Parts: sequence; C-alpha cells; structure tokens
Amino acid sequence: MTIRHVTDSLGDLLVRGENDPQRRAAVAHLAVCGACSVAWDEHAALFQQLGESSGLAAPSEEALAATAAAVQREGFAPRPIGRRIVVVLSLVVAVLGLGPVLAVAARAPAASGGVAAVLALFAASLAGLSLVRPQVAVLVPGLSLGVALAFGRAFQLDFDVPHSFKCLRLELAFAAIPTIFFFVGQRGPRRVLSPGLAAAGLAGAGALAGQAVLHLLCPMETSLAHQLLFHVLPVLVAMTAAGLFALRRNRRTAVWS
Amino acid sequence: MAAYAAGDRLAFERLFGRVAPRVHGFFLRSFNERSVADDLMQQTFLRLHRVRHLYAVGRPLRPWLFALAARLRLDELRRRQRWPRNLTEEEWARMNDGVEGGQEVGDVGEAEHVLIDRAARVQAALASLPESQRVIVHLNRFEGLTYKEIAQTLGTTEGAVKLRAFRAYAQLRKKLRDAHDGDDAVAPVSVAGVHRGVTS
Repeated sequence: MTIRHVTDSLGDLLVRGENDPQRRAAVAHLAVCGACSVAWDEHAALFQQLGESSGLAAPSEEALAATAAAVQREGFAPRPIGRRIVVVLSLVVAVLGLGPVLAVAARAPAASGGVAAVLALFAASLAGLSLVRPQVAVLVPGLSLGVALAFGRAFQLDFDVPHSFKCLRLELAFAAIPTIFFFVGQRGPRRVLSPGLAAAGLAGAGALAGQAVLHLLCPMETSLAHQLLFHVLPVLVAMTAAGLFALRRNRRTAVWS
Repeated sequence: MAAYAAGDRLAFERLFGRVAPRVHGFFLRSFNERSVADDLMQQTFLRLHRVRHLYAVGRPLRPWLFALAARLRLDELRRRQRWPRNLTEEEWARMNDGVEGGQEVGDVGEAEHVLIDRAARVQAALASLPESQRVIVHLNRFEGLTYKEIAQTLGTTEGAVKLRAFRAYAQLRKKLRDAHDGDDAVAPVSVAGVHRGVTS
C-alpha cells in the first residue's frame, strides 16, 4: 500500500467493512505514513459531516403510495410468456441437438440437405435461447465439435487451403450477422443479462448456421482436420471475439448486468 | 428480493419500504426537484418489477437497483439537454465537470449566515457540486457503494469514478474550509483517529 493508493481511494476505503483486506492494509499503512494519516482523518471528518447532514427530504406518502400502486397494478404472477419461450426453445435445441449425437454414435451417413436444415433450425433456436438464457453458450463449442466428429471421416491433412479459407470466412460472416443485430439492439436502455455470454452464444449460433450451410457447399467435409480447423475453430473464434467485445463495450457504456 | 422475484407481494412491500426512500434520494440529489424524483422513483420500480425475473439470487441488490435508477437518470439528463440516446456517462461527466450545481456556498461565511448550522452548510456545499460529481458522492457516502460498484452502476470505469470522487471530495473540503474560515462561531468537526475502525 502506498501513499497514492490511500489518498486516491479514501472514499472507497471508508465504505468498506473493517475486515476488508484493502481497508486493513490502508489502516496499517497509516501507522507509518503521516501524510496518509492526516488525509484519512480529514476525509473521515468530511464523511462524518456528510453523514450528519444528508439533507434530503423523504418522499411524500402520496408519491410512495402511487409508486406501490403502479407496481401492484402490474400484478405479481411470474411472466408466463417468457417461461414458455424458454421451454419451447430448450425442447427444440434438445431434440435437434440429439441429431449429431446419434449420428456420431451410429456413424451413420446423413443426407447433406437434411443435416443442413436440422443444423440451421438448431442454430436459430440456440440463438433465441442465448438471449433469454445466455448460459447455453457453453454448449455451442461441444455441439460444433460433435458435428465435425459426426461427418469427418479421416484426419487428412492434404485439404485445399484456399477453399478452406472460404469456409472460414463464410462461418465468420454467418457469426457476424446475429452478433451485429445483438449489438445494435443493445444500444437502447433494454439490455440482456450477461451480455458477454449472450453475444458469445449468438455468435456461436450464427457460426453453427454457417457450418450447416457448409454441409451443402463444402467438398472437404469428410476431412476431420479440415472440419476442426475451418469449421469448429471459427465457432470458437467468433464466440471469443463477440464475448470479449460485449464485455469491453458493457464496461464502457452499460450498467450492471 | 428473491421472494419478490418469485411473486411474493409482501416481500415487495417490505423491499419497497426499505429502498424506495433511497431511490428517491438518489434522484433528488441529482435533479433537486421533488416531482422529478417522484416520477423517476416510480419508473425505477416499474422497471425493477418488469425485470425482476432476471435477478440472480445471491447477487447484491443495491448495485443492480441503482443501475436501473442510473439508467433512468441518464435518460432524464439526455431528455433535458436533447442529447442523442447514445451519449454516455463519461461524455456527460466531461461536459458537466466544470458546471456548478443549483446552489452556491460561497456566501455561507458572510455575516447574515453565521447562524446557519453545520448541516445546512454541508448540504449547500454538496448541492454546489456538478451533478456528475454529486452522484458519485451520493452513491459512495450515502449508499456505501465502493468505486468499483459505482462504476458498474453508472456504466463507466473505476478509474473515472476515482477521479471524479477525488475532485468532488477535494472541492467539498475546500468549500467547507472556506466557509469555516469566514465563520469562527462554528467549530470544525474533528474525528482524528476515530474512523480507522468504524465508518458510517
């Protein structure tokens, strides 16, 4: 603890509990630093003066009653629509998520069109669910990997590199679409909880949708190495970038989430 | 809060009775207008009611509640100044930092005000701070939030809060010292050593 640590943070230190480690370190520092000790006492005196004179009139009984009545008019029942959406989306995600799992288990060949449709629907549901339950984002990398394992047949390293980068670009572009909509939607006063996770989930869902499209377009989808590097990795990159960007942006412009 | 979020009406009433005056005080400190504070308090609780299902059990309520209130405060500031919706807390602070608040304390030490008690003097000094600093002092001293919690509440950085708090408290000390120098009738408060163990 140095003189700057104490003098720059007097207000912060004084509202902390007596057992708070930062406060205890500051108090220990006061014993050896005269300048900090004087600053601390001055600030404590100011705090005491402020505390003795908050100077704010209490709200009137009418204002309190009007506010309480306005809230009570809205009712106290849980919000059924939000809950129903979560249940429906969760069911869709669970049912569609079984597809890749079963395919892995059975090593069954699947028609690309059908797989793409299932994955696209799955990604859309996942995107919706990410907004109301951002925690689902943690499932996305596993799902992406599951799809790659389901359709990659051999770990061939001789894949077409220029075409592989097209796959990567396409997936990142798909990831960008819902993510941009998310950030635009977050500009107003309505914000979701855990914006980092929600943004990561949305980006991951978008990239999964891109992965779905690639089942129709990619000629190298049976190469596991290609799948891991250019189908699964973009999902992780998109999720990490979106999540970090959301956290940074949230720290700058948003409020508690 | 968890019981209220689960639909318990009595829990709401208990919570409301406890925190409504604090929310009202937050707005009154910022805008110095009772009717505005009444209106924003109502909006805060309506918003809290609509997002109560998002409350994470076990998380401290105060920073969350004041974050809702702070968002409404910023909306009100934007509406008053006809600012664009994306104007941030930091931009507001930069514009507002040099602007004095609604009351002035400079004449407190004059002869006709010698009998004003210490509390009124402190209130006047506080009211004379720019709004962007007043809100920091309010959340720190009267709501007991740390600088980190204030930064989360207002949507800014801890460093920015530290700087605004430093300036605000320095200005308060100066104003109260100036007022005291002009008025020997009222003794200054001395708490040397007292607050090393206990604060508020």
